[in-house]
Amino acid sequence: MESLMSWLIWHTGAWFGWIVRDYPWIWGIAGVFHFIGLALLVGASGVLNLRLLGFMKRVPVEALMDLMPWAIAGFTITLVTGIIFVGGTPGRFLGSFAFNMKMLFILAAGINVLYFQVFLWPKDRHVGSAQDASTSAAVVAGVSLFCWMAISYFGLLLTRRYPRIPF
Amino acid sequence: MLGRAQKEAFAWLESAALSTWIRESPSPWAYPLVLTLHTTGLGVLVGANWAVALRLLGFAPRIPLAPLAWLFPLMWVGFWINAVSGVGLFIADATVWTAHPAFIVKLMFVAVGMGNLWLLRTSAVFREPAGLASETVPRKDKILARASLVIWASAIVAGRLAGRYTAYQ
Repeated sequence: MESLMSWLIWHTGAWFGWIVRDYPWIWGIAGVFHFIGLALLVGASGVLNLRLLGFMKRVPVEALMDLMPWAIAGFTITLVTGIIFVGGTPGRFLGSFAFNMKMLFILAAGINVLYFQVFLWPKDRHVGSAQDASTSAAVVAGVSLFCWMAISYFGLLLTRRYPRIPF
Repeated sequence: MLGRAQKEAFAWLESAALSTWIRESPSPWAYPLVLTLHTTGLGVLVGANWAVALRLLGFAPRIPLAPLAWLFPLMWVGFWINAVSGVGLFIADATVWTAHPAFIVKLMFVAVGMGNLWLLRTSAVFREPAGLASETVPRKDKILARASLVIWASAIVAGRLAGRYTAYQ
């Protein structure tokens, strides 16, 4: 069964790695878009995080939600380009400590957003000009910013210079 | 492109103790940390600039403009994080970066991007009381907003092109 699975994986997925490795410009373009996606995601969600932390208080919290489609677009771009990296050279990523940590922090960031959306947003959306967001929302914002830096750090540990980080 | 004396100077810079440490130390706090700072600065500077640009271009119109003026000093913090971390990345691979014209092109895009940012900051829409209402954005500011999208994307492209021969990829 296991050998059947690995046969299937090889014969259905290997073409992806061949293409990515045979055309270096695919890697280059994906790299550019990975950072463009990062800037969109961090820019749009970061402004909301900073507001929840108490900066730019005259901006009503709900108005900042209008930027979230751009954050989602940015995340989608990093996700698609990330799949190109991992699919192209899975040996560099899968099973390495840095990659596992990166995925763990992405998961943590996702749970953080979900918690905010489900439990805090119904109240915090009404935080208007000059009002403070809830303490929980400020904590979520801090966690979100920390996760972003951790995700970047572990992602950059996966570069060619550090194929296997000695942790 | 470079003369012999210049090539020797960059080779010397690359062989300095700090450059060698950043480039060759197996420590996860050497090259990866410098690179993470560079990415953090990018997120702060480009991210905040793009968020403001999208607002000026008509997205998220409920966001009042005047309070966004607070983001401009933050973008400068992002710029300085990247100037310092960028010097670190540069000295680590000085001969690689200077061998490719894309690096100079990248520096030019950054300079133009910061000039564009400075012009945007002087805009009346970020001053009170006018900026507190969701007023219409002047055409000049929309052009600056569009320019910021193109300039920073170009800086990222040029930076990645110039860096493709460093061990980082």
